[in-house]
Amino acid sequence: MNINIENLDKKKIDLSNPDITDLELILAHKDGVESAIDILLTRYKSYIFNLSYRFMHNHEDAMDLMQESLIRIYRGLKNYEERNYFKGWVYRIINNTAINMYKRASNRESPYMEKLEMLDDNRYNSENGYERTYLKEKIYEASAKLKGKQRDVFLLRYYEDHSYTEIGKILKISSDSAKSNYFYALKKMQLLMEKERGML
Amino acid sequence: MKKDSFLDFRDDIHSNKDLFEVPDFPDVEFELMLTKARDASKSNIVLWDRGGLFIKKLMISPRLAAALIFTIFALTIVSYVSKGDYKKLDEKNTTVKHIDKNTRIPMDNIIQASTGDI
Repeated sequence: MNINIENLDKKKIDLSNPDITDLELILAHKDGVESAIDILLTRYKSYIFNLSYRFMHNHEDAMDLMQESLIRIYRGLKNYEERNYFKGWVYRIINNTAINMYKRASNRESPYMEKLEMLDDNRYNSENGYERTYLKEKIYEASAKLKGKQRDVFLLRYYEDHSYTEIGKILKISSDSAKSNYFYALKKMQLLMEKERGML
Repeated sequence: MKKDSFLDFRDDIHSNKDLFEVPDFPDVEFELMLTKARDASKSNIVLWDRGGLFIKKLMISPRLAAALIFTIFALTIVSYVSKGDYKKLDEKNTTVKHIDKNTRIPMDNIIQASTGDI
């Protein structure tokens, strides 16, 4: 986002303009225009929900994660630094909130694995429905065993279809690093899944 | 591990991406969440996570409030008593006379006091 912050006239920001940038909305919010942040977050509604869903893998927990993350976003905006990449900043908030929720739920046997939700559509009623359900579980189990950057990159690339450049910006790494992390994440998953099938 | 097997695996995984589609999130529900988040972010009780929890508990628990007041009272008494001021009853007008502990007392008075002359 190549905007010279000094040149932004906060008072004259037109919220009805669809071309208004994220940064302009954030500055407007900081300047006391409360609705600016609602416009910004509505832009990222799908992104926030999808990420929450990826982390929790069921609707109910995803809603909790989303609500808590939104509260943190509202609070954190006061200290938001303009040089940050908003999408990346939001990602880190959701990620950290999810980690806290896992910790809180640590007395549950496996909060991450127990509630994998299946999409309720015809795909699972077809002839190969069972196979696909099984495959989904296996992919999910293997991806849940990924850690650190590999997990982050896999989540953003595989589930969210982000480009490596975008992933690099979100995670503050180079696009090459994102690419290699994705490669190693897939390798690891392959090993895990083959081990599971007893091929090794 | 052969390279081909990895490529097959990758293609297989990618061709099944649709298994992980996320259902749409309704706008109305999102607006409700935004309102809740905005209200919660303004609330001091929620804002101050752990302290907020304490305040909340205090608000709903009169016992805790009573215990806190009692503790403050007890600490005040202890701190007052342990100040170290010496007190002496003035025999003539029976009022309490405070003598600062730094006040020098002549040695003769101390000897007289120890022998019971005072």
